[in-house]
Order: sequence, then C-alpha cells, then structure tokens
Amino acid sequence: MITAHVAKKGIPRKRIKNCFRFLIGDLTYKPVDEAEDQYNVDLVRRIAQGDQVAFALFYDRFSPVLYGMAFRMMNNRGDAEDVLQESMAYIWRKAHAFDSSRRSAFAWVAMIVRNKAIDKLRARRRGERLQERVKGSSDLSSDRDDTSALEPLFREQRGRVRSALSQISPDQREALELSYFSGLTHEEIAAQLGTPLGTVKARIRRGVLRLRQLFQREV
Amino acid sequence: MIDETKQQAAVDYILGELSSADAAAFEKELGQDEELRQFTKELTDDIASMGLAASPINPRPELFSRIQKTLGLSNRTKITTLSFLPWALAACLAIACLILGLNNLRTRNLVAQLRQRDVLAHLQIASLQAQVDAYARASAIIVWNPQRQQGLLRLSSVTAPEAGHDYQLWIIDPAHKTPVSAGVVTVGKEGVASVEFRPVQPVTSAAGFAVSIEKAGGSSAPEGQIVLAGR
Repeated sequence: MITAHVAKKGIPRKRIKNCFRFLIGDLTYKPVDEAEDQYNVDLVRRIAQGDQVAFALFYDRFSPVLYGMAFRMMNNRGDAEDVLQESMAYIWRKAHAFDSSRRSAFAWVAMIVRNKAIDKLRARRRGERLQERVKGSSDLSSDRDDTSALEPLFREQRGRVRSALSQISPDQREALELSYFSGLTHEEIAAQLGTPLGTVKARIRRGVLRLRQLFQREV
Repeated sequence: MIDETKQQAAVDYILGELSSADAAAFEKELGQDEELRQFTKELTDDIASMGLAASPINPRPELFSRIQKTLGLSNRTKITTLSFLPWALAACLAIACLILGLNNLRTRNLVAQLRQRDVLAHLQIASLQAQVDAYARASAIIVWNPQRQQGLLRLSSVTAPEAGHDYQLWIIDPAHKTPVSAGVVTVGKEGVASVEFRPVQPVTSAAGFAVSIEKAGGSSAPEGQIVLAGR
C-alpha cells in the first residue's frame, strides 16, 4: 500500500522494492538495477550529443572497473591505460551507435574494453606471459583495489559475480575465464588445455548458462 | 525454447568467436526471432558482468586529460569547475543571507535606538509649585508623554485631604475651554503618592498641570481650591 502510494508520486516501484529489500538485509539485492542502467543509458545518450560533462561523469563512474578489467587482461599498466584510452575514445565517437534494446550500458562498455584488450593481446602474441597469467588467472579472492575505487557502485555486484563464478565447476570456470580475459580463441584454449574444441565450447556454454541461472535465482 | 545449437551460437556471437559471415547471419536471425533476441541480450549482460570479477583499480589521474587531449576536448578541470557551480552558488547565497541577516539586525537596533531617543526628546517634565502656604513643603513632579497620552505624577510631603474630599490632577490645554481631568490622586499615610495617569480627553498641548481639592470621587471641572500648579 505504501509502495503503491509512493509509486503514484513518481518513484519507480522496483526501486522502492529494492530499498525495502536492502533495508531488510537482502544481500541478493542488485545495486545496478534497471533504474541504474537507465541512468547509464542517459549518460551514453548525452555523450552521443557531445556532452563533455556526461563523458567526464561516465569516466568517473566506470573507469575503475574498466581499468581493472583491462589490467587483468593485459597484466601491464601501460597497456591497460592504452586499452582504456582507446575504449573511451571509441565510446565518445560511437555512443550514437549504442542500442539499449540489445544490451545494458555496462555490457556495452565492458565488451568494448574486452574487445580492445583482445585486439592488443592478439597483436602482440605474448605467449609466455599469457601462459603465466592463465595459471594465475583465478584471482577471485583478490581485492587489489576494492577499497580505493572511486566508485563503490559495483562492489556488491562484483561480490555477486565472484560468488556465482565460485559456484560453477572448475573446468567450466577455467574455460570461461580464459575465453573472457585471456584473448585466446576457443581453438587456442582447446590447444592450451589439450582438450577437444567441442568440449571447450560446451564447457563455456554450460558455464555461461549456469551463471545465468545463478543470477536469475538471486534476482 | 532456445535449442542448444542456438545457445551455442549466441555464446560464440557474444564472445566474438563467429566468423563475419556467421555473425551477420546470426544478427539477421536476431532480427526475426524475438525470443532469441531477448535471450542473447540477457546472456550478453550476464557475460559482460564477468568483467566485474576483476578487481577495480583507479587509473592515474592524468589519464583522462590524455584521453581528452586525444579527442580534442576541453580540459577536464573546466568541467569539474562547472560541476561545482551549483555548490559555489549555494555558498554565495548562504554568505549573502548571513550578511543581510546581520545588516537587518543592525538596522533594527538602530531603529530601536532612534525610537528611544525620539521618545525621550518628546517627554515633558513639570515641577508643580505650592499655591497655598499649607503646601509650601510639598513636592510634585510630573513626567508627561504627549505621544502616548499618559504620564506619571509623584507627590510627596502632602497631607491627606479632609474627609469627603480628594486630590484631583488637571491638565491645562489651550485647545479645551476648561482643564482636562487626569483623575483622582490618592495620598498614602506617609503623604506620598505615585500615580500613572491618563486624561479623560485627548490633550493637544499640555501648557500646565494643576492639583486641586475636589469632592470625593472628583469633578468634571475644577471647583475646589488649587493647591499645586506648574508647567
């Protein structure tokens, strides 16, 4: 009744519900919900119109997460900065091409960073360094800079993702992480692991579907 | 229901594993199959969220300036300054309110002082003299405020009048034919009286004051003996 009353005043019902869930200590509450995504989408639209303030806000909001991603993939500060720089330049120039019906704003920028990093990784082909990173890639418990991040927005969601990753089978997780972070193709992963390509693909697919299932269960 | 083949195609598409031709074919299929489109959208968000598993790291502060320079954008400092503009305006407004408030307080104090000074400037003080020998030792002082039409009479060394009589105070005003009564004055056993008075009619100009002995309860016009008078 209260939510209905407040909803009439213009506050989204879902956000009110989320507030109640947060108040009662429901840890599965997603910090980046639809309202959050709508804000991000609005920022991207403003960027598409050449709004530099929106671009700066967007950078402040996402750069710790995106730089963290780039660093994990490149394992090198300079390269990670190059990736973030190229990604932000791409976002500035291509913001008009963003389609919110196909993905969330975060998914859009995360995949841009991933693709830029993969381009760099594949261009350099630093096989030995990759090998080392692959061995140590499962740093799910690592908290390199969680507390110093400018924007704690994603902290809870990060915990949720790590928790979900820890619940899928080790071989699926290994294949998924290699696919996402290492820049290796599925064929290269198969060769790396000495496993048939079909098996690698199946592990990745099942791992993704299992992640999806875990996310949906939480929501 | 999305079958396994399509699920695999969606995963491969999102992770960039499809060839250009296969990716184009899959996108065409997305345009025709709403269920597959929705499935792929959700899967994209889920896969992308894996990026959050990496620990966040703050990039060096100068990186954004480098990005801006590459894109030919204005310096970020200006943007930051603009973002603080509302706070700066709020601070200016608060300071202005404080100054105006202090100024208002000072003005009020000044007005109060001027009013006080004005009241004192208009006060009229009169000392009444005995008109008969029996009241030679008597003392009578009157403070009259013409704006408020009220005054204070202080009598001392005055004996109480005979039984059936009262002292009565009068104000002489040229605007009235007869003195205006300011009420009966009761003297205590010590021969002292301190009375606040108001005239029964408005007084334009108090040219003088007088105290007479009237019948008990007072008269509308002076009929008895005037014992004290002055201006």
